[in-house]
Formats: sequence, C-alpha cells, structure tokens
Amino acid sequence: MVKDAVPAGEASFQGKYKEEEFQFCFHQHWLRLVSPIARMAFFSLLLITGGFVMLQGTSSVDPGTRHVVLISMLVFFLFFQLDFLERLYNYFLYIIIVTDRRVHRIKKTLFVTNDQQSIDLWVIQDINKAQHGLIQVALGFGTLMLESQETMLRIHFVPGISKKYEKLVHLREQARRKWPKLPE
Amino acid sequence: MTAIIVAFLVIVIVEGFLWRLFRWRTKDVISWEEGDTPLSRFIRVGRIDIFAIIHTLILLIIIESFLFFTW
Repeated sequence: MVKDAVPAGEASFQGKYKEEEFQFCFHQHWLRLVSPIARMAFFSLLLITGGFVMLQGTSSVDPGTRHVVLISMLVFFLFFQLDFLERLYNYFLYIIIVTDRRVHRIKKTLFVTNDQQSIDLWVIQDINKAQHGLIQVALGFGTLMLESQETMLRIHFVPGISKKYEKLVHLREQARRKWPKLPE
Repeated sequence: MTAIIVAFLVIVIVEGFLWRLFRWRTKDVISWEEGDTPLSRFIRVGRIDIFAIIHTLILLIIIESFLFFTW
C-alpha cells in the first residue's frame, strides 16, 4: 500500500543525492504493454474455448481423467495470467527519473535484474531524439540519446518525446548556468 | 469443493506474493508517484494496488465459477 502521499519534489529514490531536486519522471510508452496484453488475451481465450470443447467431448469419461484435463487447463490459464502480471510489474519497475543534476535510468525486474545508470546533466554534450516509423510519429514516442564524452545513455520508448527533449535541454542549460564548474 | 478451496488459496497466495515482491522491489520509487488517486485520500491505495486487487478478483471469479460448473 502507499505509505504516504509525499510531494514529488521531496521524494527519495535509490542513488539520489541530498541536494538533488526532483524534476519529473516517466515510464516507457504504454505501447510496451500491448504485446503482453494481447498474448495473455489470446492464450486465455484459446484455453477457455479449447476447454469447453474438450469438456463437451469428455462428459462420458471417468471423473479422474476429467479432473486431470481441468487441472491442466487451469494451470496453463493461471500461468499466462501470472506471466502477464509479471510483465506488467516489470513495466512499472522501469523508470526514468530526471532531477536538476542528473538523469537516472532505473531498470529492475521482479526477480533477476537491478540496474541503474545515471548521467550528469552538466557533462551531456549532445541530446538527440529519434522517431522512426508511422507508429512512433503518430503516438509521439521515440528514443532519447544522451551523449557525454565517456558514455551514452539511450532511453527507448520515451512517451511525449518532444516535450521531454525540450525539458532536458532546458535543464542542461540551467545546470550549466547554476554550476559553472562540475558540481561535486 | 476441495478443488475450489485449493484454487482459491493458490491464486490468493501467488498473486499476493507477486504484489508484495513488486512493492518490495519498488520501495520508495513508485509509492509517492502512485499516491495521487482519488481513492488514495481515503485508503492509501495506488493505481497498481487497485489493479492487482481487480486482477485477483477477476481471476478468482473466472476460475472458481469454472470449477463450480465443470468439476
């Protein structure tokens, strides 16, 4: 459950410095969920339909066989539902947080992954955005590439990419004005 | 009857485990983001929590009624 409705500016997260001020955050575009939802719906419908057809044919079979068929169907149905739930949770565990000093990409999964990559706004030399294809342009998402001298941070499926791009450019300039030398 | 009870327990335990694991993995990152729903003024529930509850209820309804009519 949510413990406290903390104002976003005071929120803490892993890797945050005390002096950092939260600006905004986002997950990947909702299009990432379409495939898991479609997969879950397809296999669920397939199992339910197949189950009814099979059960019609096994009405004269002994109860043991009937129960085995039912349990198998339910196990597969539950598997696809839980698989979808895991993918949904993994979607929410992938978050990009932008503060006044850095961009943090926190990528976790439920079980095995715990990555965090951060890049200082001050050292970013180039901020590029890329949108390829009709779907990306129509839905307004794409890839942001933040390049510094030593590293590059790519963020895919960025929603509202044009606004995010402008905000990042603005924040970078603000960071450079605020801290003429690289902040410690 | 036994099958219905076992199915109920399995669904509730597994979905509850996944939800708790998700909350543990997010810790402070998501909780503040999800605090601003109309419901959250009253019962401190975020959007993801509501979805997890609804998903569990729908699964229970589908599986329990399926077992009730076909077992």
